[in-house]
Order: sequence, then C-alpha cells, then structure tokens
Amino acid sequence: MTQTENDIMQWLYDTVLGQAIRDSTWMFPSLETVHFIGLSLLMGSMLIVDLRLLGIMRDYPIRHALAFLPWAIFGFVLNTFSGIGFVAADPFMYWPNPAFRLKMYMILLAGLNAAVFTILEHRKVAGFGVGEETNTFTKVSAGLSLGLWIFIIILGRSLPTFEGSMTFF
Amino acid sequence: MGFLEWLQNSRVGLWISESDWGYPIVLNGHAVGMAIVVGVVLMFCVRVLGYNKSLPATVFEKLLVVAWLGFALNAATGVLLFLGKAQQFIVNPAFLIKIGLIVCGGVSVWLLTRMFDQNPAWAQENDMPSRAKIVAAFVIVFWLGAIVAGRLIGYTLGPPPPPSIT
Repeated sequence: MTQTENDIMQWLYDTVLGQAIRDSTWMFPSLETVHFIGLSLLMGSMLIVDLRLLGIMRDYPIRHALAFLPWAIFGFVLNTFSGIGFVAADPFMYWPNPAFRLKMYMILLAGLNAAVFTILEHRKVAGFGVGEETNTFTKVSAGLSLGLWIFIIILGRSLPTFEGSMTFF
Repeated sequence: MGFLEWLQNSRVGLWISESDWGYPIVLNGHAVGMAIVVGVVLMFCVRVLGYNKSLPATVFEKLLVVAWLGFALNAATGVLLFLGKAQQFIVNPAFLIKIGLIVCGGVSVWLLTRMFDQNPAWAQENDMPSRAKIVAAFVIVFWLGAIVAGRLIGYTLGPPPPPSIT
C-alpha cells in the first residue's frame, strides 16, 4: 500500500458518511439490503435483454427487451451509492481485498462491454422483430454481459472469504 | 432437537460448516439464484403493473421458467445452508419470517401465472385488470420482504447450542 492509497482511505474513513455508518447499528444492514435489491433489478432486466440478444428467448421484439434497461441502470445506481457507503465505513478492509479489486475491474469491463454494444449495435438491433437473429458480435457481447454480472455477484459475496488476504490463493 | 443435531453432524452438514469452500460456494449460489428469481419476478410485476405496456405480458411465461430455475437453485442451496446450522436457524425469527415470505412469494407468482392461463385474452391486452395488479403488488412486497428478512438472519443468528450428551 502506497502513502497516497493510505491517505485516500484515511480521508474516506474520516468522512461524515463513513463515521455515520460505523456509528449506526442499522445503517450497514439497510445498505446491504438495498445492495441486494439493486443487484436483483440489474440481473432481472439484463436477463431479459441478454437472453433475447443471445436468441435463447426469441418471442419478443428486441426493443421490448431494451425497454427494461432503465431498471438495470436504476439497480446499478442503487448499488453504486450503497457500495460507496460500505467502502466509506471500512476502506482498510475493502481496498486491500483481492476480491474487491477484481470486482471493481470486472464492473469496469462490464461497463465497457455495454458501451461498445450501445455504440456499435444498439441502434441496429432495436429494429429486430420476433424471431430475428442477432449477429455473432452481439451474441458474444450479451453472453459476456451475463457472465460478468454473475461473476461480479460472486466476487461481492466472496469479500468476507478473502478479507485480510493479499492474494487469491 | 435430536434430528436437527443429526443433520448438522451429517457429512453434508459438516461440509457446509467446517470445510474451507463449502459455505462460500453454496452462499455464492444462493446470491446468484436470488438475483435471478427476484430480478425476473420483479420485471414481470412491473410489466403487470403497467411498465412497458406494448410488450405482451405473456412473453413472461418463458422468462418465468428462468425465474423458477433460480428458485430451484435457491431452494437447494438454502437447504444446504440450513443443514450447516440447523439448530440455530430453526429458532431464528428472521429465518422463520423469511421462509413464510418465500412461500407466499412463490404461491402468489404461481397464482398470477394461473390467472394468465385462465384468461388467454390478456395476451392482447396492454393494461392488466386490477386483480392481476393487486397480486403483482403483493408479489413485490413478499420478495423484497424476503430479502430484508434474509439479510437480518446474518445479524440475529444465535450462538450454537452446547452439544447434547447421549
């Protein structure tokens, strides 16, 4: 851990938010509950979108699937805010934890994947009707999206398992 | 308490409570299953309540198969987690409330799908009748309540009872 990392974590630890969550018995569990609801919203809407893009579900036009995306964004926003709360409450546990770092990189990768799909394919596939097949590029992107979000949930749930370790194995 | 203690001391019970990887693996499965079942069910409910009305609500017949797969994964992983600390779970109020809410949540989703089966005309409807909306609202309350109760188990589970002398 560098001095800069240490300073940033100390600053986070000392914020009003971090102190309030540590001093309260109910805030942390409540944020956890919000985090679980947020990840369910994200997963549910992404399943509807990605299973259609993959062609596993074909009996609805793609634009109807994409119409659920605001729920994924809402879930992601809930989890960003609740997640910032967790880290502020105990930054010295989270930042050195390898599962936490990998989780953050995987979220960036999932975001990049979503951005690439949106820029290159979104407009094209939004016109696809019932039964219409997407191209391989879109299918790979949809499969990657589902795989990454499941992996991200697993990494999050594995945080306590890797607490205090600097490496994975 | 003899049976519960026997469960805990079974090979599976000990794998969950004492091995390095048993508990984390099963807990991960339980989190992923939750995201699948609650996520898809919530999307079904918001559609019934009037979100994304141009999508025929009947497409959820197939999507709910995915939700039931998540439900099955969580029933299986839930039983395994129970086996690891059976004596502590059975006296935990949050656990008992959670099980009650899950039973209500499962039955109400099944009820909603049965209403769809009995009213084939709903496939063409944008707006669902209010009785379907009322059930959907209950489904949301049951499943979100189950998540709240489930999270509370982690904070309220009592210490293991002393081993019984036989």
